[in-house]
Amino acid sequence: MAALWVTTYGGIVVETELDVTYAAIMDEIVATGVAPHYAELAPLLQISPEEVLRRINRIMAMTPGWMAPGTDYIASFPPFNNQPTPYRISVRGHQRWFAQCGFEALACCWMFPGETVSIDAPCLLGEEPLHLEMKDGDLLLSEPATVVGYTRSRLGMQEPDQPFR
Amino acid sequence: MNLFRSEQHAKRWNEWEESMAQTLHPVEWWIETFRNPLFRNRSRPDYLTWLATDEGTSATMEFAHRLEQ
Repeated sequence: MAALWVTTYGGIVVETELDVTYAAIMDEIVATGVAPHYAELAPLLQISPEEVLRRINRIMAMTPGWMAPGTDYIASFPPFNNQPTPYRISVRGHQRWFAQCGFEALACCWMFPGETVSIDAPCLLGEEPLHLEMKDGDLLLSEPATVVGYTRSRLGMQEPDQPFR
Repeated sequence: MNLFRSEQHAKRWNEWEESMAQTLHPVEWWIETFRNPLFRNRSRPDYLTWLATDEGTSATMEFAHRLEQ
């Protein structure tokens, strides 16, 4: 774990430099739908761009996110994806976000507490699209009512080079 | 990790693999799976630190066990 940066809550360490960086990235994606470039975070975090990039790479090693191959750009920061996917996420009528995958689309509602989150996706067989609405983890609407999830890939948190891909 | 209109649609998908059929569940089952604190807590300011706590480790194990069902 990273060096300590902030200590609060009666002496219990609640934030590290990686926590602060993770939260800054997530906040930006939630606000805009787009993951920030590491240089954009430097003034916000008051550290060098190189240090931001170092932290981002460490965060990617700890979570099921990843960088675009051969670049220093954030490609996926679950539950969101910087590159468009079939899973469009809308809040208050604005479609600004893409989910990392169909399953992570179901977790996007946790990033918008109290809001109705819409998930729109095409049918992978080319038939009618599907539409879900969720709020705080509850399914409000499923069109059609028969929607299922399926993966042919392993998922989970124990194989760092595989999860959610 | 995809969503389909129905079980029949999933099984007609050209990338369907019968060996992974155990991952086919109604969307409600996957919603319950993604209620795990691993996903609910991503907006915590101390999320990465939390992941390493007993609570975070327990949530990770719970998620893994759920996927084995």
